[in-house]
Amino acid sequence: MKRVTLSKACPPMPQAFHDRITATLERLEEREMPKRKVSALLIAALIGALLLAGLAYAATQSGILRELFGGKAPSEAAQQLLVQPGKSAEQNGVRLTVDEYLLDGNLLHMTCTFTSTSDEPLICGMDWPKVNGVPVAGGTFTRGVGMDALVALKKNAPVTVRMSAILREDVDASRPVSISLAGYALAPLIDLAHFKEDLSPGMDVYSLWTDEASTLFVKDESQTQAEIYEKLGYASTAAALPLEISVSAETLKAAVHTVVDGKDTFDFPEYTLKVVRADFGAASTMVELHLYPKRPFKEYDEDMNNDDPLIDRAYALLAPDGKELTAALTGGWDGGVMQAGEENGEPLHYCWKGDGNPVDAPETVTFAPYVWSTDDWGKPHDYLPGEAVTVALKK
Amino acid sequence: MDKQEFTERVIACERRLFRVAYLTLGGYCHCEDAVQEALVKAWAGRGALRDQRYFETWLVRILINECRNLQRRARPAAPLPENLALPEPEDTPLRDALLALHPKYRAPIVLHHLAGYSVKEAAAILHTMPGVVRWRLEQGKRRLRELLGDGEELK
Repeated sequence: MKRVTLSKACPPMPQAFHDRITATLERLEEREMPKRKVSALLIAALIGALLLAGLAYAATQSGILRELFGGKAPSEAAQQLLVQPGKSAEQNGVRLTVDEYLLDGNLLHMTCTFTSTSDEPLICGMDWPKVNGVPVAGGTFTRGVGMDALVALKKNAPVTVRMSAILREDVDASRPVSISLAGYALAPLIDLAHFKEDLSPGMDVYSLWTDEASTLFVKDESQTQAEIYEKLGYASTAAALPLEISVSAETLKAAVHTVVDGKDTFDFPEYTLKVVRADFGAASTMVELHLYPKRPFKEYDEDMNNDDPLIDRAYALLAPDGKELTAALTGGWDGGVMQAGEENGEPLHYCWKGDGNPVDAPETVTFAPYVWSTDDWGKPHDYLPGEAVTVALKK
Repeated sequence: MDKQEFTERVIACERRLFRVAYLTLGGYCHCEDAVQEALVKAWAGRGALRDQRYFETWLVRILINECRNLQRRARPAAPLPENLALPEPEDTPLRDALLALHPKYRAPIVLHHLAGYSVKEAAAILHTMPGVVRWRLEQGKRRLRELLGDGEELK
């Protein structure tokens, strides 16, 4: 059977394309809004605010808190939940160190570092952690390794990993919580040139996520990446780096979060909406809505658009005063709730994971749907009339 | 996000941007215009992106919209210098077969198999559900195999 490589359907990027990008990027500031004159009083106020923000950051020195709270000072609860254990595991000259983590009841944020003193070329990777023995329900690796990418690990060239994992089960804050990590370093058994190189230049990332590996993974979720790659004959394990961390009940006191109190299901002529989760924690927000349609959806058109009002929508989170809570958060798309789920026959799932958090979790939250459009970045949303629902929250 | 970070992140994904633009537009003629418009819009609207982790998928979504806008407007491309050869892929029949696919099947294949995005990322870019992307990937590859002739194995 003749094999066809899909990547050959596209020519290499021409220099002219790169040149147009760089020329556009160089001109960007010229296209910005004209600068306004700023009063001396405003300048003084800004300097004061910057000094206060600087002091807050200097106090924490935490990359996780900086990322979660963006330009805002982290909440006291988030600072209390941050742990910098410096705990590590080492084997055959490879070390994995947990630099810091934050478990707020919704999410586990963690930063780890791989280092090697080995002269051999290695690649390192990590599996999703387990919390109290239960695998997390997914999440994101935003730096370093990922679930489908391994990073070259060289002598004296540390690899930093940043991960945010969604907990599968609520944490009981009255009891210590255990976090199990499984890092590893692999020695390639085949030439790295055979691996699919990541398309991002300068990343030095290799993907082994072939169709064969994918099939194996689907067949047995208990297998680790390292086991799969060994089974495929791509690599052998050079260092297994398991780590166990115990989070004390004292630390978890600040892991307070909200649950829906009372009515959570709302009936409309064309659908039923269920608020499954409205969870405001110390450093994150998790929201989940399920929309159960009472009729089939429209078909997608040639441009892959679908103007079915049940599909072409997003939800904004509103505080009791009507302001969008997402304005105070980071994360998500255009402040809305992203849609996921199956096309027909299954409820539409609207999930939203936000980093950082409003200072105080509200007593009620309103979910207001609006028509989603990429042309509306930053514009006020026109909420669909009569379809907003409000739920009460308790801590 | 300041200009330096914006620039670095765009340059880091420029090859993906090219692949998406080339195979969405069906050729090179409007690729440069599409990416320029997308970058200008992304820069102007960057304040609306509240989680920087989604920068690349957000930018690609804008780029795809710009490609479609250009196709709808059918604006004539700026003349290319006479000595500039249009880039051609290594496997032209494969490119043509891919372009013959319905856009709803082509887009997931381009994003997942050629630009390297995960199914979840492709779903976010296309504003649809991962299950839909998975199904269209399978259907799209099946139709591609038919277009290329029996016995072709895609990878």
